[in-house]
Amino acid sequence: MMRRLSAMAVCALMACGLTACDHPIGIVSAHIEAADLVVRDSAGVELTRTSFNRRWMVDSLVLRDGASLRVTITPVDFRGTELDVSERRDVSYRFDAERAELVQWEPQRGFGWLHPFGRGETRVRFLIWHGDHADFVSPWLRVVIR
Amino acid sequence: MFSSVQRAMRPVVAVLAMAAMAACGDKEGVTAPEVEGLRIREVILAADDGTFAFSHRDHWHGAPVLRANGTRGLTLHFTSTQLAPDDHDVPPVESWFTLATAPSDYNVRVVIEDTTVARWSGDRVGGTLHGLRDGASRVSFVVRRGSTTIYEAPPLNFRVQPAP
Repeated sequence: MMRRLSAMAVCALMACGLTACDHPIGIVSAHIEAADLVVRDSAGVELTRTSFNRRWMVDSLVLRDGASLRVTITPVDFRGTELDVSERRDVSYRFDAERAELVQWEPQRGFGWLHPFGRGETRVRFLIWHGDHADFVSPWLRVVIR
Repeated sequence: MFSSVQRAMRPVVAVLAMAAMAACGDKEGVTAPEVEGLRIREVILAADDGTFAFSHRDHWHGAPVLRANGTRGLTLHFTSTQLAPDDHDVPPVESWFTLATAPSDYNVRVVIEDTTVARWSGDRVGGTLHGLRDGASRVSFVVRRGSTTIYEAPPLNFRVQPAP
């Protein structure tokens, strides 16, 4: 009798222990529900934007070799309303380049730099990075460095 | 009766305590490879002229520039902490350390993608980037303990300008 009681108690206690520090639902911050992305230069001029996140309205960015381009990236929701993620400490903008030796992305708070490292052409895409995953991945955008 | 219950519950309490401690442990340790010793999260390249470039999670701030037939001396500093994704400041200088006093099985592997553009010579504390020709490439810094990789920085772009 006592052994059975002990075994039951052990099981109950282990179950409690294993779940003690992990809430079954967990505390997560909201995803960025972006439908499209707008890329602007430092003067606020729109350089390009995605259309239904399928293609870029202006299909290429031209950089001058040796001249870094300061850009701001703004997500917009399905109604076209810009989303302010400036207060989100768990969100950042990441970047992929097919020829990564040609261009480097340097994010800053609220904007980022595209640093060209030689003449050529490549394709890049932007990601809205949320913790450990991407909430948004843009289509590939052609970048030409002259 | 009471003492027999107490006796029976003794192992229960011990198991319970172990379970609770296990449940509250470091969750990163569940999937991350556990290598005892130094924890490295970022690298800072301090150039001889006082400038520096530093890694921040998936990207870099700054990039080395040198001339063909020129050199760039770099000291490798590391930090065991990582700033928030949106905090792009340089890691506090007081948190920097080098591998100078680390156990001897720690080593740094420096890999240049295009070895016709530049080459690296140095040790785990620092080294020199030698510009070979006008161009650009990327360099990777990998810290290993023995043959186990404990840290790999994102590739860093650099530029070699034409010789004057």
